[in-house]
Amino acid sequence: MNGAESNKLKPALIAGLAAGAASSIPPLSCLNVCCCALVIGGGFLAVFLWLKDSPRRPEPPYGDAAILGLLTGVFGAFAATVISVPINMLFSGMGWMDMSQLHEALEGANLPPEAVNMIEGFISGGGLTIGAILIGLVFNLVIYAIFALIGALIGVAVLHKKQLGGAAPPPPPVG
Amino acid sequence: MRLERNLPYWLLVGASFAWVGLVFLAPWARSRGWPGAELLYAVFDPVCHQMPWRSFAAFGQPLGACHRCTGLYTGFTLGLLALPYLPKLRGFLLERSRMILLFFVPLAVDAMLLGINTYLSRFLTGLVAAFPVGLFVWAAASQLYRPNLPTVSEGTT
Repeated sequence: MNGAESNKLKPALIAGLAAGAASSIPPLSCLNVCCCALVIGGGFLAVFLWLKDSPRRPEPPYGDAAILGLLTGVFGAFAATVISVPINMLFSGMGWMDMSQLHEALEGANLPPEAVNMIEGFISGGGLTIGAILIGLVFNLVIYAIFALIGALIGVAVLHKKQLGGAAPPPPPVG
Repeated sequence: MRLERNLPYWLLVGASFAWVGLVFLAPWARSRGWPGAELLYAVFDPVCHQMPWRSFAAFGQPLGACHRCTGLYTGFTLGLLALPYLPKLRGFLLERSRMILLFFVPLAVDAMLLGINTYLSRFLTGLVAAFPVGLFVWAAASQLYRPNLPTVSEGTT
């Protein structure tokens, strides 16, 4: 494994930050309820960035992609946790919306009571304590690592281009 | 690519069963009034909307994940279990790995039919989409476990 192949840190960092940021910013973060689509997309993006600068191989590098996905998930989890703190404070602490007005509006929309509760909970935000942030980080680390790994493996399955004729990969550009 | 049902494979199968088990454990724990039940639901909260009217119910409570996510997790586990016995499909998927996208087409179409789709269509399209994904996780685990194995063009067990 040469330097270019082993350099997974940069694509993992870029894709992890992108996935973490997107997962923290409402309403974009709502896409994650589609089975963590943003995190899976982050893993996919990391593989795209990594394969762009890697030589072609005879078979898809699933093992390396799995490591890349795990790294992306770890960076994404930290990014999501850090970015979500000020966003939660903004949404829950500043009283940006009168909750009684919101409740009336939701009741008028003929939604099921569970949906009303869910939207109100989302808008009002939860309690923001150090403990809650740390528990959130642990959950994020597990979830993001799993789903970014799957995204990376789907990415390598789709984006990998086979090395033709078993020839040696071209040397990296100089300068 | 040579794939074997070795330790990583069985660990993957175990982890997949555990994950699907958590989906069913959450309502069981809530129905019994266990304090940890909400923690189990919280595990799936970041990855699923958990809307009760779009989730199967067990023990009088909604499952930890919605119809589609339950289908995805079940499909992943089923794929891991079934693909060792489907060498032609396995070889085809490993040889033409882009074909994995075809398995996601029904899910994408079903997701776009927001007002028309049913609990069965959501579950089944999720199941189909995730069925081949386990193969690539298995391939990754095999490469990491024995990265210097000689390779052949089609999968064997």
